[in-house]
Amino acid sequence: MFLTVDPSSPTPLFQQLADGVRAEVIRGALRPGSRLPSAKELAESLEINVHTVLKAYAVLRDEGLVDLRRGRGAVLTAQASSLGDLSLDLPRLVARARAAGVGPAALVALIKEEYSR
Amino acid sequence: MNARIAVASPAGVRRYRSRLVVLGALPPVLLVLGALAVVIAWTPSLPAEVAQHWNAAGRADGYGPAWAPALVGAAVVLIVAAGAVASGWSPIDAARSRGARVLLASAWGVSGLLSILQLGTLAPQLGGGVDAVQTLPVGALIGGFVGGLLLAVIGWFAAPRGLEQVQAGADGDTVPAVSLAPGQRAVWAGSTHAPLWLIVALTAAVVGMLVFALAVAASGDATAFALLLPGVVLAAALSTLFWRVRIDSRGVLVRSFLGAPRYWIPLSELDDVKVLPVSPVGDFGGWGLRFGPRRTGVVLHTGPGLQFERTTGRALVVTIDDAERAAGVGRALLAQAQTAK
Repeated sequence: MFLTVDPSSPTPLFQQLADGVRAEVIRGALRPGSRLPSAKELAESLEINVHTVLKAYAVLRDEGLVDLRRGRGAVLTAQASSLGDLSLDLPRLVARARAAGVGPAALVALIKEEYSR
Repeated sequence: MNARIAVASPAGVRRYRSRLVVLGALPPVLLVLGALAVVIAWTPSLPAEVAQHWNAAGRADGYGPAWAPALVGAAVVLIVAAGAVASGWSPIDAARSRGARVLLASAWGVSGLLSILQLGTLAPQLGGGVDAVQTLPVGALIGGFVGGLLLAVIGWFAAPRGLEQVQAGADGDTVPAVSLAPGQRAVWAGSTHAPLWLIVALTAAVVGMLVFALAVAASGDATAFALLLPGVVLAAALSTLFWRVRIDSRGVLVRSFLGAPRYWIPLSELDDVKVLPVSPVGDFGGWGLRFGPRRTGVVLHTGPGLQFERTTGRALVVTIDDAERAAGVGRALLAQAQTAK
């Protein structure tokens, strides 16, 4: 599992971490049952605050992607495999959006609207 | 994943394996099965009991049904050929160890020896009585050994040698660093464990040893505690079958799931990170924590591995999935530390 954070980026650090974990899931480097490093260990590796890592893990838990259990740390749920499968549908959608001149923000807005129906 | 370093192309691996099976293992098996078929076809015109063993003076002293040795011979060759295919199934193992080729050459040689010997001793007994081979069939014996030797040589060269791409990567390949922006922080973390059969076998051995020691202790024998020693050794071996690897700006940590043994290489002492295909038996003589002549190995499966080269001291090799990207991260962190100086 490969994660990076860039303190000079406008994206909040916890968001960068959560994005990184999702990207690893889509890539197949993290699978259901894979265990993430402890918040303390990851915080030390990336020289960031442990609460930032915990916040990222909490975001992923709320999405249902990881299970947070005392003593066991953060473990990827079965959703990890669905996320990987879903990502296979994306290249076509993004290619169409690109061809039509639709940017990422507009596409995300479309997807959100579809959810709220 | 890691197709380039692990085993060249999937098509190359398929070609290697079909050569292993079709050219390497199939001919000796077909030969002994063919000999068995001939023996069975001959059975009606053979005596019920044929001469099969001769004493030191060359006189027949053992008799039996003709099909029995043919069946045993076919089974032996089948088992040796299957063992050769299993031990050479991975082209990495085949490139690093001659085990599979030796087994294949043996299968060829034994199949030739047995087939010639059997048919050579049975042919004179066809239609006649047992008297036909009351003396040792020297011709069949010599023919069998010469033919077997010849076939063993042919088998040695028919067997595939692994893949050249794999042989070339034995000392480690350099991979490009992943791209990191200045100031961007990165960590790579992964885990690796021994194949399931090894874990199951060791666990069973440890449990068996403990149960036996406890049973002996319950019977009041003080020496039972001596039996615990091998149990402790096995448990220690078990502790080297699950490992975690972490690479970050501080350095490389390779540690067993129990916390010890562990290896810590500060980034300042890390010279390079390379990827290489590893064959546990061929490169390190087995699985687990291994100490080779030039490098220490955490060797748990046949396939991609990382080689951490130190500025001082021995290199550390760890077999792990996603090795190529891990090496890329390690090299990026090294480059970042260089520019920071």
